[in-house]
Amino acid sequence: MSRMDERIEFEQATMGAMDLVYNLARRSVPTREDAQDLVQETYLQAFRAWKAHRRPRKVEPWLATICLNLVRSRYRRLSRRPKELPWLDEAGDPRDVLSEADPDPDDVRALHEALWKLSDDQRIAITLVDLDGFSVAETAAIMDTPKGTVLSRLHRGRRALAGLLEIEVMETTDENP
Amino acid sequence: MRTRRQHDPERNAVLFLSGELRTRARRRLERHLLDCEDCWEEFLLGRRGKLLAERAREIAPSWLRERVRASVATAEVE
Repeated sequence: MSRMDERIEFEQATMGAMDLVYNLARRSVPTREDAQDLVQETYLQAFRAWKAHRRPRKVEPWLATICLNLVRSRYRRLSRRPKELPWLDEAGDPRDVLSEADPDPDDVRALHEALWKLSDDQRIAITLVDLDGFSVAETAAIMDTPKGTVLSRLHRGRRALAGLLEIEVMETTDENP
Repeated sequence: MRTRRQHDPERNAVLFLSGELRTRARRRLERHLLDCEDCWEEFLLGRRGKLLAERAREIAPSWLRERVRASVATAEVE
């Protein structure tokens, strides 16, 4: 296989997961710019592994794990929550938020702020499950944590989020909670 | 036999919301949620938090895709 074929194969396998990596990056480092750099580094590291024939069975959890490992190793300083949150002015650009209804920009900003008030572990668990769609088992593997711990972080994070926000939420049916 | 220790409203709520229970376990828990005020309250809070979190989902800017493609192409020849 030529180098170009290898790259094309990599892109075909992984580019569809960019929104997932971007959402994880956005909840892992405070600024949009840092998140964009983190996404790029995640893909570069993944490509290096791909070229070395370290290929996963499933790319999404693989990319998420690389992203979080990068956060732990290189972005630790950035991922710490500051005492004040001046950077949150740029955190909630509603044009980037997927929603069926047009969200109120103030609501979006409040949501971003609230997510950053959670503990890092709660925020990442919520991102992996509620935003990126990973199962609890996959999230446990990505976070290198027992399933029970993930469930606890998820619930406490969701409960804290609900307590922090007064935004009206469209309720789902009981069939699809 | 159900013991007091086994009754954990937090765990019941998050398990139900996870959508990963098998049909029988889900139905059993559903019945319990409807009967147990503590579990129902936890379920409502958890569901509200989950719905709020889902609203924070973003899409990556299209230029970022191009930037990543370009950097991968550069790494290809390294």
